[in-house]
Amino acid sequence: MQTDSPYTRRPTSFGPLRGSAADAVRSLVASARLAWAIEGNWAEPFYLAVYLVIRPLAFLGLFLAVLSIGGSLNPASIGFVVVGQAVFQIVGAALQGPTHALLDDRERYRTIRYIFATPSSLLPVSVGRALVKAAIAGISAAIVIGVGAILGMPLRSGGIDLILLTVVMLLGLLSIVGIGIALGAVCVQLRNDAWGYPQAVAGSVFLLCGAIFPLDTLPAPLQALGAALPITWWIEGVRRAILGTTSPGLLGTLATGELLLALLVGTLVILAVTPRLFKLGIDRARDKGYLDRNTAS
Amino acid sequence: MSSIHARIPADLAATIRKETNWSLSHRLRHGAQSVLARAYPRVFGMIREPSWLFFDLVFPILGMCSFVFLLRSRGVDDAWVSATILASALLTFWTSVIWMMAGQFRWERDSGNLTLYITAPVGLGPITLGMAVGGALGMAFRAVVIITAGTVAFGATYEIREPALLALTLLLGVAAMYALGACLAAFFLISGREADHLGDLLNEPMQLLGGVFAPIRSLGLVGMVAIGVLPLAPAADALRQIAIPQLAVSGLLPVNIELLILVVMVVVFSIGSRYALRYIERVGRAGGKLLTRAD
Amino acid sequence: MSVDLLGTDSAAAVEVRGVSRVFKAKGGPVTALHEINLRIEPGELFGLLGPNGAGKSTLIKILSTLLLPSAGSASIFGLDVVTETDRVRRIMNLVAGGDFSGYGLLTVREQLAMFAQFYGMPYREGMRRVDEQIEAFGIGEIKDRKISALSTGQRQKLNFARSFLNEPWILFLDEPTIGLDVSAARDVRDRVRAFQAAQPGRTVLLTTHYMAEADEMCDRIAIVDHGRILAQGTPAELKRMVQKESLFIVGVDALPPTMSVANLRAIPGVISVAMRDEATPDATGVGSPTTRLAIGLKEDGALGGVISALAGAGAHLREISKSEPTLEEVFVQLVGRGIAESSEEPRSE
Repeated sequence: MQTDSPYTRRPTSFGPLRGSAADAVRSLVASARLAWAIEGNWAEPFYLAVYLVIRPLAFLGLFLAVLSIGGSLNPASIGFVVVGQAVFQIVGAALQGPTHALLDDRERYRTIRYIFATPSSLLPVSVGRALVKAAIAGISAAIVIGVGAILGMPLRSGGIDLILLTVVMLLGLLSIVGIGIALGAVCVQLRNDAWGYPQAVAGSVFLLCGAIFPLDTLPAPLQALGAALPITWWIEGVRRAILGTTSPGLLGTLATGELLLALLVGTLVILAVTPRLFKLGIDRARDKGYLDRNTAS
Repeated sequence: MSSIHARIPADLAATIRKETNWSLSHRLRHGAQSVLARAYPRVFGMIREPSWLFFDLVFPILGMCSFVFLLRSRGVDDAWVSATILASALLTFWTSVIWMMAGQFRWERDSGNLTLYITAPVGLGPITLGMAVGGALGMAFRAVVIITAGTVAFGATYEIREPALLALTLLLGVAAMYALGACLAAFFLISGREADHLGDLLNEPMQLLGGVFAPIRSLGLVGMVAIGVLPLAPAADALRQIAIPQLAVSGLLPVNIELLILVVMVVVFSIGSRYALRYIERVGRAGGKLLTRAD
Repeated sequence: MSVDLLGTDSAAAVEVRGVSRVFKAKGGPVTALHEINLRIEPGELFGLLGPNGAGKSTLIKILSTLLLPSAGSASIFGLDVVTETDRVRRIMNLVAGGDFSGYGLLTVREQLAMFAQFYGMPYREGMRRVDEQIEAFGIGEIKDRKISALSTGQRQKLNFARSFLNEPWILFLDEPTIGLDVSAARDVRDRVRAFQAAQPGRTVLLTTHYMAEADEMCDRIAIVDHGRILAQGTPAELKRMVQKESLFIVGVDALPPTMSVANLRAIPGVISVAMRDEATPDATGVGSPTTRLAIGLKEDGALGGVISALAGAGAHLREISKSEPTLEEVFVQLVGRGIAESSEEPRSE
């Protein structure tokens, strides 16, 4: 049997990586480049303006307008809300991104069956799409922070703690991409109205993670739930890095070191569970024939 | 064919011309039944698809909870909690206007239904009115559920001294919103891909400009302009003043002025939508945009 | 080649005068129709035949009031499609192939009932017609099934049922049998014929690129390519453009010694004779010699003289068949390429 045919010879290296690691990274990079082209829509200024600037600032404006009702519009409260809103841009994008990518590939572009039939796993493909969506949302987050600074948001004396910021952003991003991917594997087994479930999850997380109000405002059971989410400590960590202050109430009970530990443990648990959940979900979808159907009515 | 041809009446064209000359009463009856016919799938579709009901309730309730907890975290008077719940219920209509009115014709075109509507002797006007009636009825149920859930969960209270005025305000507000939606439907139909993003532009930014969760008075001059062009603004402001009298001081204009504004909006947007739809049909037929995606 | 039918006095079902349609496209304007003139009589089943991108659908869209012409005018039973649009819509209907319109959550009956209202029928009369069409198209079993659960063939039957609700005087069928299996396509064709037969004057305009369908169904056909009508007439007239004589294939065991090709040519009405000897397999598969004569006649009636002459000479006739050119051959002759070699459909702006 001929084994050196160009059609059977598979590239086995990707930079310094070999074998399955190289395959996974190659798929991830290819998927990320695709996502950059699709999600970025860099050729459409109006689209960019709406999603990167207008909508996030409108959200911010809504929250600040509500704060102004009770005369609570002061630099500290502005800072609290601005940072929470900014980070949540990334949270929302990463939560919804993998599901939308899978459903888009299945329902709109009808390519999921072909991707599935390649040697690549869908996992690095989904990770690539999610990372790029989160990165694009990061641009929006930076714009929100910038506007917050103009509105009088106080910055940490001595400047932003870049090391803390980098660590919490990295851990937070990993955790939210993990959750998003697991969610995608669940939603791909649903009908086309599965588009809405990640948004519902994002909305619920928004309530629980102390993005725009301290956790203490919630009823006790919900406070416990919120405290168990890595996203809560991610947002608080970013606040401490940028604002240099500790939030009041429950959010301020952990020292920064303890916060990082909580975030790390939560992220590791998610990363340990996600690949298995993803595989279970995709395998089930394949077995039931859900990967190949078009459910749009 | 020749035997059939021989039986064709000589005055067939004249007979057909007479047949197509519908009386005013026929046209009025036809218009009314077309409105009801188009409202039917909207109402029953919303009932038959439980997931739509789920999303139509979950998203507004989550949004409502976010604002209520934000208010509570600042120790704001509970009257504002009641106002937030009311605003969330009103917002369900606005969301329906954006996605089920403004964006609907694009979906109809892409699915092929628009071709059938155009070639039927019904006209886009009754179709649009049917969409509005069906949408409003469906959303009314959801609004009631949201107010009930919010009131029970957060202990909201209202003091409705003039229920008829409240009902009239709500009716005019909804009518004005849907009339604007009909105008937007015409515009969205011939827009390119920008229309897909316009829907998102009309959501949160309009909530801010409409003074839904915070009084429009706080927006200053921008608020004055918004209350004259955006139905959401006078409707939210008036409803807040009527249902929660202690917040009347937060109103931008007296209720009767805001009602007058809504009446004018209903008239202007209704007439505007009629001309907009006719214009769009003409432009669409000239450019072929009724048949293909306007990419 | 176009036929100028202008100036005729009697009212036409469809009259097209100098209609052109130009689309704006990214690469420059595209002329989808170029000064089309056409007249369809009441009661006709008229076919527009041509490859993809010929302009057939564009013409139907103009006549069905979906598009405006860039130039020229068109009328349906004397009603102008541009200025009397509302009235035209009251007497017409349209079925397009591959149509997936409809609200997925409505049942078949509900969808039809909705359109009965759109066509202005009183409710009871509308429901009576809905049930009538459900039965006529054999979709009674699925009348309570949601549209989203229907197969392609079922959807198309639903589309046809919808199109017959208002008993239109003019029915536009734009490639109606695309995606249908043989049996379903045949059902559709039978129903269209029955629809026309039920009321004299009902007219059908059909576009298709299936030659056999046009040949079978249409009273007259116009062959369209690149926005122009190349020829129009009955299927027989069009075929005569390619082959003016009637050609018959006559198979005999052997040409008798007293009969020659020259003798056959001398028979009145015979234009040409060609002969070929073959071996025709019998039931056991063994080949037996056969002489095949390709006889061109001025008219079909002359065949009798040929058969009499052969029989009189003692020839044993094995087979007689008529050889006709297909519409594809007509098309190739007119256009210089097969119908499968299609060009891009002109894109609208």
